[in-house]
Amino acid sequence: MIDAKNIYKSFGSLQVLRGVSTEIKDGEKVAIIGPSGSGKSTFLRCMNLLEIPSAGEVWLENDLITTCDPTLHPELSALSGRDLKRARAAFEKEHRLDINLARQKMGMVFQHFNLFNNLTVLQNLMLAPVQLKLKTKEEAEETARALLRRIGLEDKANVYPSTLSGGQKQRIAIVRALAMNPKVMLFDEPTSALDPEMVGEVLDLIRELADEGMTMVIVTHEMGFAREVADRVLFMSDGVITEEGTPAELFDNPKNERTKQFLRCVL
Amino acid sequence: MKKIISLALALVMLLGMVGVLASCGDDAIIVHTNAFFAPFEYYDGDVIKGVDVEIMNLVGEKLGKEIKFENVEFSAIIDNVKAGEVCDAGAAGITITDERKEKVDFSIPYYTSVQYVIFKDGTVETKTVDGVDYIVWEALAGKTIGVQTDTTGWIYTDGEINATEDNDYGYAGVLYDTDTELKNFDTAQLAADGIIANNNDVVIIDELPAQYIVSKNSALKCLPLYYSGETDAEDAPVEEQYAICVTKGNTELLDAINAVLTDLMKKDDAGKTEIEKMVMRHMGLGE
Amino acid sequence: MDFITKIIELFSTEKYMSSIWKGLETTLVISVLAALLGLVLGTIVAFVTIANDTKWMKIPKIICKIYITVIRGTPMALQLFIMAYVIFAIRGFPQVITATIAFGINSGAYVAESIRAGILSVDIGQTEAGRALGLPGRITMLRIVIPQAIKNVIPAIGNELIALIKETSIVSMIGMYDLTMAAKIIGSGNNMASYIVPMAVVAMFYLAIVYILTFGIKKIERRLRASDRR
Repeated sequence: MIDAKNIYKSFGSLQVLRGVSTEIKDGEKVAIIGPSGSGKSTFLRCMNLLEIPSAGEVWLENDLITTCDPTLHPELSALSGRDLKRARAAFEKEHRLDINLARQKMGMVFQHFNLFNNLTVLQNLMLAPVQLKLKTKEEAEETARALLRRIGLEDKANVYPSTLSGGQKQRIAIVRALAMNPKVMLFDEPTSALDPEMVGEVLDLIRELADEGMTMVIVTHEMGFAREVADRVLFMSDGVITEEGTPAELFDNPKNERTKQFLRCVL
Repeated sequence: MKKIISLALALVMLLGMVGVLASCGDDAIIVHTNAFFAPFEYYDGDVIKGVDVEIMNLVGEKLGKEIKFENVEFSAIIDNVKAGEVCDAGAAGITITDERKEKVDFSIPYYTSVQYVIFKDGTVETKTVDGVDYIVWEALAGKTIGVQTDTTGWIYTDGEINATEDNDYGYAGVLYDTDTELKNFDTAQLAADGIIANNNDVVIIDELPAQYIVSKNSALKCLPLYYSGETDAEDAPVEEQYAICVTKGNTELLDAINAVLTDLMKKDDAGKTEIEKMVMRHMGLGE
Repeated sequence: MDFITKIIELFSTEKYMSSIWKGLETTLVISVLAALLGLVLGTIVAFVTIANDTKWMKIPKIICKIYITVIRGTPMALQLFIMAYVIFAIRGFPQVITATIAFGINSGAYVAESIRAGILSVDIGQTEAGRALGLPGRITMLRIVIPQAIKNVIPAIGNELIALIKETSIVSMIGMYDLTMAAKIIGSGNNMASYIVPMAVVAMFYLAIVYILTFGIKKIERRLRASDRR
């Protein structure tokens, strides 16, 4: 589904990602854990280009969504100057997908919900499908109401986000992403900004999606949840994937010293 | 959004076009003045009237052209006339001075004015010789003098305060080194309000505006300003002559103005000139 | 007492009141036209300054930055002077247009900064959420960011309009017949021969204009705020 190849990212002189690669398979649930500042959120944001990688490529299904990185293509790395430029352009012309189209296939859920404050809950859910002409107004409203009914917030359809609790906001943010029928969901610490009593309702919804077979990548601090839901866990530190494996391998039998140290602190 | 932007852009362009149209093909003679110098020029409601306006309208009749008066800061008039871009002439009770002569051409003088001092009664030492009351420069030593910027009152006062034989002025100023202070105002009226508000002690300005201001303020008086001579009999008023100025080289306009002024200065049977009558009329004193 | 009788004299003298009305008209015309020009110019400049750094935007961005810096860094009186005596030193050029352009350009710089600040004050997460749904930047800006920015921008622009109206009083410097000039004329030697009363009266007129404007802005603000409390 998503193939991240050798991603680098720096902000000014600060190197946040230093060669991160992983492939997310169809239907796979991947959890990314690690200490803060390890680059896990940045990596997730690179997948839908909210951050643009300094080097490396991201592929969604068979489409390139970043620019072409010649170092990943042996036939290009030999070229230079104008030839390289032309070859890159040709490659991108053949493989690259418009980022807005790519993002329609990738739902994103943020730590701080980011519901549109100027729109009602229903409008939040309808805006993108209608604006992008994927659905008519009536269809979009029908979908939106069905999604709200699913999370039991149908009565909130016409209120503004400022009147909702954190848990309600985050569940609505999730169904807002679902309204686009994405092929993969990216969760960026979806419960970190919630009061403890609201974490459960959000995790329940994510678990439900997982059970339905949604492909998902979750950056999280909820180790129990990662262990329960994920097929594969990536442990990141200092901008690289230090260790990865099934939850059982990683949580019960960590091999890397950094992983052990981290797990000792959080478990 | 786009509609608003394009609408407003259209508005701006329209404005610009109106401006260009209005400024093109304009054959009128444009005269700059400062309409705060009654009776020579003043606003009556929203019309500029006055002696200078009457004179220039006669000039316009003579040349068969429209005369347009524009009100600007007095200090801008000479430079605007010199450049000749925005106006053709300046008529604002302008005193002939050597410096101004270098920049513009002057008509024949049509009025002789005396500089006056406006003051609160009892604050300035006055002099009476042969029944004539006046004030000499020396009496103003140590005072704060208000003037209208760029009038001759300002030029004289500045000279008397700052001139020495050793500096650029080249003569000995009467008030040099006497702690006399000069204050500039936009109009004579503001300077006179300054006396009432205790900002300055006196105002030096031409005779007629001084008479006007004093006639409406019971707290103020005015007297002519004199240079002291060797003896009292040699004391002499600070006199000056008004003329109309045009851009250098505009002889057609200058000749027409001179012709009109020559006519207006012929004395009638009672020994009065037309100009004097105009002054009386605009001061509200009748024919 | 004298003050009050003089005020009555001013209001009951037709000549003086016609001066005031003419001055009021000039002040309002300049203010309204300059405000419109300033809003348009300011909006365009604001969007140029916050646009992405692309090759095509580089020079417009530099121009806008210089524009804002120069206009905000120099006194309005000097800008008006340069407009009147240097740029539009054209025979018979209508001063209303000179003043409108001078004040519009001045106001535009402040409006641009208000709009830019208003847009930047909207949480970046709002933009990210829109973009992450696949919405193009333009739609995200139009549907999500701008509606939220307006609430922050309106009060700032209101302040700018108030400042603009009061600042137009300097057009008397180039001889224009605005409210302030009307006061000078009424106060001149051949009329009331004192500035105090006409200045006070004219100040009341400015106050009234600003009060009405403030009232209008407050109303708009209240309506905007009501929409997100529903």
